[in-house]
Amino acid sequence: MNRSIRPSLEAQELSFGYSSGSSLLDNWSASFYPGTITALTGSSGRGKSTLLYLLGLMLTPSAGEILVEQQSVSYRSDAEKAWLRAHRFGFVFQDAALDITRSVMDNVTETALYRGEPRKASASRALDLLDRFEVDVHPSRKPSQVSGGQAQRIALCRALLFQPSIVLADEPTGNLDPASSKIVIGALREHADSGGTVLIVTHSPEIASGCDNEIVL
Amino acid sequence: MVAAMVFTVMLTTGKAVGSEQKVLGTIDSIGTRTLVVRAEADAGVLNDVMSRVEDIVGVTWALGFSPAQDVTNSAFEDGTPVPVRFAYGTQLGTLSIPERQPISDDLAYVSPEALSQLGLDYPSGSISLNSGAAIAVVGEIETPEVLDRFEPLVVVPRQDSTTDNQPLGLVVVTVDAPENVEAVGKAVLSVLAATDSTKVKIESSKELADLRAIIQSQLGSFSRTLVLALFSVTAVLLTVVMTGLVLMRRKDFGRRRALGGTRSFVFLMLLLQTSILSLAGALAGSLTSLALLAGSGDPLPGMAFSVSVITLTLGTALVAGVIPALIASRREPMKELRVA
Repeated sequence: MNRSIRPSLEAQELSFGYSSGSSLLDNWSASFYPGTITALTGSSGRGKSTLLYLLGLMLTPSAGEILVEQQSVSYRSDAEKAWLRAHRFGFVFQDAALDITRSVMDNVTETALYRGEPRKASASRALDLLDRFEVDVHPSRKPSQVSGGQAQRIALCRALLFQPSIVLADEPTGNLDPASSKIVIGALREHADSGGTVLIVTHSPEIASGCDNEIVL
Repeated sequence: MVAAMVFTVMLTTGKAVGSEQKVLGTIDSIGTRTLVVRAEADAGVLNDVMSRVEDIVGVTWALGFSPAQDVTNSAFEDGTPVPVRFAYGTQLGTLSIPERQPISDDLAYVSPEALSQLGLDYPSGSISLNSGAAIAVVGEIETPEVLDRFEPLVVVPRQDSTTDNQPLGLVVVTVDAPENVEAVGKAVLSVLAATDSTKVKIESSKELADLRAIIQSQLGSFSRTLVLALFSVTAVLLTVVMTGLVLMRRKDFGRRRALGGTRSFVFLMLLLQTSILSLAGALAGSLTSLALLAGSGDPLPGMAFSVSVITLTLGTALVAGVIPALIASRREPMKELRVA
């Protein structure tokens, strides 16, 4: 690892626990660098997804700092965190989490809405991504008309549309067939190779072994 | 739900408001503005007071009549008697009687009902008083609403100064506004200069004006209470239903928040969706109910009422949407998006 490159995402002495009193993270620190894929592994209930949502600024740590591009962001206002999520992060959830009432194209370009950009402006790139990830359904179709594997690839297109510097993926291949899993992981690898920072929560040793780093919780 | 609420409001309160307007309109038209003074023949009320009555501020129309006498068709000795009244005043045009009579002799004008009772096919011929004097029938009266109660109506206009000091049995006055009836009534009584005021009775429409106010107040109060109750119930139901819908759509809100939607974005988005759906519901409900009211011949509540109901509906829906929208905007993405 070339340590002259600065981390795009850092956790410094991060602590977090739910109100029940159980502590999931205690003074946990890590740095995530551009151009790398990091696998977060560990048995169920160890806080892998919680950590991912903390790093994605959807939860507030009880102590410690989260830094995005060297800026402390964990205690910023909701609007500022939302801005960072829209402009710096891409998310791939455990299931595709698509809007079933909107078209495939609308789903892929949804983030434009939160970035304050016209959806049409990103339509061409959305079509490229859909083509690249072999989503062979018409963009005007509804998500209910596509398979689970295609839905997750649509979600991947949504996450990568604006080429975010950080992509957080929560078990993105959990419900996918091997072919779809390969496309998803390949796309994340490609994103990392082009300078992105990728974190994947996974239970798959095979996927973890293909990542640059593995953090076991 | 919004459409059903507006439909109910329009069919209940809207109908009530329409009926209220129709009832008030009817009361107004039949004479909340009318005064009728009845004087006995020896009360000392003479025809020369008419000029003074006409001059009273607030009087829009006035006509004096002699005590009624029976007349019959001169062609039938035993014909049906019909009351005839000599009329004093300058405003005969209301009855379609010429302001100036062509000759100085008495001429009679007869309403259609009187024509029928007298056995006349046309407003021509002759009628006879009990005294045997005959009066030529020369025209037909269009009975104004204020004189409906005096049908069958036979009027003999008298404007010549030689007919001064004739006793009046009846003075009919219309007033410019229902609220002025009482004051004008007092003024009319004061100018009548009756020698025996106990023999003069005034039938004012004050009671009718009071009734009008009561109807307006009670129907208005009923309508307000009903609308308030319906809107309150709807607001509560909307809040409950929308909260349920928010919980059903929690994954949607969680996704939006995770992808960069702010809390205020989610809050405003839900309120906007509520407004659009409520407006559509309000329009559908009001148009359907108006069509139904029109189809059944019921009185329509009027544009102002319909617009008010739609505006109030939007306001209610927005208020009802605040709590669900707050709930939606506060959902934690992690709780909504994670698959158990």
